[in-house]
Amino acid sequence: VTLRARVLLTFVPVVLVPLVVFGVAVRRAARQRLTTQLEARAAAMVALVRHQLARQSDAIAARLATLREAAADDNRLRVAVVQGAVAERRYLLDYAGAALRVASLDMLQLQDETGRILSSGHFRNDFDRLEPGLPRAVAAAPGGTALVRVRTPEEPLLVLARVDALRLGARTLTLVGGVALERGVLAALPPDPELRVALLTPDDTAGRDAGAVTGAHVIAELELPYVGAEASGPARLMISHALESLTALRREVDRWFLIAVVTSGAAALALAWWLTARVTRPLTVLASRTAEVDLERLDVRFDGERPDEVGALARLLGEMTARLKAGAARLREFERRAAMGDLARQVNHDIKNGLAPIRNVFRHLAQVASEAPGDLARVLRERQATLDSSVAYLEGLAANYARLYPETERGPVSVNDVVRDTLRHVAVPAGATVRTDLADGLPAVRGDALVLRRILENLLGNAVDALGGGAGSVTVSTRVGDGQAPSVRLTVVDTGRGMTRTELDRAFDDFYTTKPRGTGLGLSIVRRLVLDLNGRLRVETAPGQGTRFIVEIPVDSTG
Amino acid sequence: VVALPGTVDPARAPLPDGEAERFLFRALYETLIRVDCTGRPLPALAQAWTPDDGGRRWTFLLRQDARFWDGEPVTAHDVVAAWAARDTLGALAPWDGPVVQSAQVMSDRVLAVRLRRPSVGVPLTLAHPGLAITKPAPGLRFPIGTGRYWIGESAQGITLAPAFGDLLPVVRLRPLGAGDARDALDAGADVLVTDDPAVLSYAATRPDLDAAPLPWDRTYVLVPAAGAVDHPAVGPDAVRVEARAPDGIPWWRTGSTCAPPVSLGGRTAARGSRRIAYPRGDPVARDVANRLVALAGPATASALAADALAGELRSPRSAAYVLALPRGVLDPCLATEQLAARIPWLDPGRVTPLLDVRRQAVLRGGRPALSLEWDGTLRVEPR
Repeated sequence: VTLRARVLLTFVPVVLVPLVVFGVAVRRAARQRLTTQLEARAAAMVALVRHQLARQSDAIAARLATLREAAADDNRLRVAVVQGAVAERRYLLDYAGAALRVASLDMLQLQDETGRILSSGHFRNDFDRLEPGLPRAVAAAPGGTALVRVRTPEEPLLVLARVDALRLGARTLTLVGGVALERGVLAALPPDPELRVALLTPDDTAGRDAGAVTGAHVIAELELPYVGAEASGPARLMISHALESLTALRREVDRWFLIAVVTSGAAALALAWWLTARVTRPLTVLASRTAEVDLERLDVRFDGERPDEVGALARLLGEMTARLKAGAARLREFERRAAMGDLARQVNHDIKNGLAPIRNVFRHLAQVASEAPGDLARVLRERQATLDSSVAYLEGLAANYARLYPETERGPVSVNDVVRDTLRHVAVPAGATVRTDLADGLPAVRGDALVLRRILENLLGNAVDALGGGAGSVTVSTRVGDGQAPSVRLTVVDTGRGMTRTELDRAFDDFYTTKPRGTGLGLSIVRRLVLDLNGRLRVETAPGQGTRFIVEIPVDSTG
Repeated sequence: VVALPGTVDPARAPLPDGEAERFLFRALYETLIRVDCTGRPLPALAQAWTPDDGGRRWTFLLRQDARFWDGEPVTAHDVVAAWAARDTLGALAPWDGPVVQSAQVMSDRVLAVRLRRPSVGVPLTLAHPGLAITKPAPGLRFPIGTGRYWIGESAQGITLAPAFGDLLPVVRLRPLGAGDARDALDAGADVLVTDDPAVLSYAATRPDLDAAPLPWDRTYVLVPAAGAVDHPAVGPDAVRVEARAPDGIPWWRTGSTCAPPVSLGGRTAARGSRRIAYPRGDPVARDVANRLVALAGPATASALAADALAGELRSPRSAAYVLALPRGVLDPCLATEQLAARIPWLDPGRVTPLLDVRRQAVLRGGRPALSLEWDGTLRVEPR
């Protein structure tokens, strides 16, 4: 897991957790506030309902008392009721209807002692029906007022009713009258879209907004005495609040909460991305620079101008590289000196080897000159080959030492051209095959064609030698390098005997050779030349499986 | 001054809707014959008629002095043209098609009418206002007629002036509309037709006014749509108008035998309904339905507008319907057919008469002479 991923994973919860806590708290507080307000409003509504019930009860009582007095004074009614006069029958039937309109009631019926309806105002044609229980039940209700479900031709009507009594002659009549609950009580309530009033009677749930209880929260309840068609008992007037407003509030909070979470999350991610980029970019640069550090390349620069920890780290790395560079220089010096010592001993040895035959020839010639001067010319001719051979040996020796430190000139060089040119001058022994596999369109590398040629000559010489004079092949190929920096890859592969691990470890040492006539300088020179070109050299080999030398040389970027 | 319930709309002429239009259109427009309250045919536009082809073909001789209001004589061509024009407009059915098969002009004054069914006597259906003779009158509100009166409208109302001669009194018609009929009496109405007990009670307090009962002209019936419906005796007390126990419907038995409607045996879509429906605007029907609800227990009464009622009578959704049927018809068979067309599922055996009702005419002393036509329409007679 990268540093950036860790920072991102840490940053998002740090932002979101407080936000979630805040959202939940807002939701809870809003709900509590709304519930408290609704409860207060419901309590006010209950008080208003109680007040309306009391007021209507008084008003109904007053109207019934007035009707009672008017009925007592009505002679046509007296004739119809007491004498049963047929001529006044219709007057009696319509009496309650007219009285109901005058008294502004919604229900009024005149019943005799047996409970028979003599006249009904709300249901004119309901006459002659026996209903003795209604007046008794209403009179027995607390306060003398009860909620009554009365019949009408169209549909039942819920009425707040009272009773009054009237004597006409020897007959006692009962007046049962009232106002519709809807008109007299519920219509007086202030409209509140969030509060609902529902009436549940023992008969059923008919009433205002029946069914509203479902899906709503009941806040307050009020019991009313109830006289129904089939059942009696308290009816419950329930005030509930519609859950829609609460649900809408929750939905609104949730929506904004979601928007806040998404926005904050996105902002947190963007910020974390930007911050981590700021932190990790110099570290990445440092890592990249550090990766370039090599014993052969210690001139990498570390910018330590930043005042922060990264700057301190860069300065430390720079100082470390500088110390490494000084140490490497000393090490090289030691190596050079050691090499010079070896070289001096080798030169001493080689020159001695080359001079010994010459000295012997000159001793022999001196001896002949003193003992048989006449044979001097003959002996000189006889020993001429020895002298020539020794001189040639010394000349070869000098040429080899001269190759150790060639002078180079840097410029754009086509690797393919160098390969083709070199192969034209290479002598291939019988049985060996040299193939090429050159990629087209390669960029030029920066270097010296002569240096490149020497690298290739040495590698080809090694490869041909590795075939051991037998059959085999050597393949030279070029490709675009696959490293981070643009480069060209030169590969020399042979099918020869390969190298052991030990041989490979020492292959690049000066003067190490496995060949009888080798100088031991070939691969050492190749390594130095490749490094001088800022390139890389890699070897893949195994005994019996041939060797692959891979040289990567940076592309010329000056053009 | 004649004050009658209802309003007047010239666009409906000569087909009346309500008491006022019935009186007015009957005075303005003539049919070939007219029928009095006893069912007797009398000359009108035609002065004489003779049967032919076993009663299938009737030849009518038009009155010689028959004139439109504009003075043009009325010819047999005018009769056929008036019928054809109304037929073309699609407004004549169903009293024309089922009765008159064809009409042939024999001469200017002679018209031969071929009937769908042979008739022993002159076909009374020809007195139906739908067969009244009219002539279009461009620019005028009412079509031109041949009746005894022609019309003049003023701010005071509708004035009927004698069209020919002066034997008839000038009549001012006052449609009552939604007004209080007692106001019309106070305003000097000489004739007023009403069934409102309050008006009759008020008239009884006035020494210059008398009330005369008109014939029992409507019978309220219960038409059950689904199974059996309890229909205990409703009783005249149930309604506020003058009513009596039903005396049967005079034309019902005859009509059922001459054109028995197809009985569907209660195969209707109204099962389970406890609703008793009645026409909106008919307080008598409302009271009857309410009384049925009061007596029948858990049921409701519901008023239906004309369109809704017509729809339900074709495809019932209520348990039963309270309807008013006229007691006087020109042709029992035709009346039955019309009822069957209105109520396709009608089972005549299950239609129960509940109440007969009638109106009263409140008359002032010195009023013009009046008679009654077959449907109870008032007719002003010459002095």
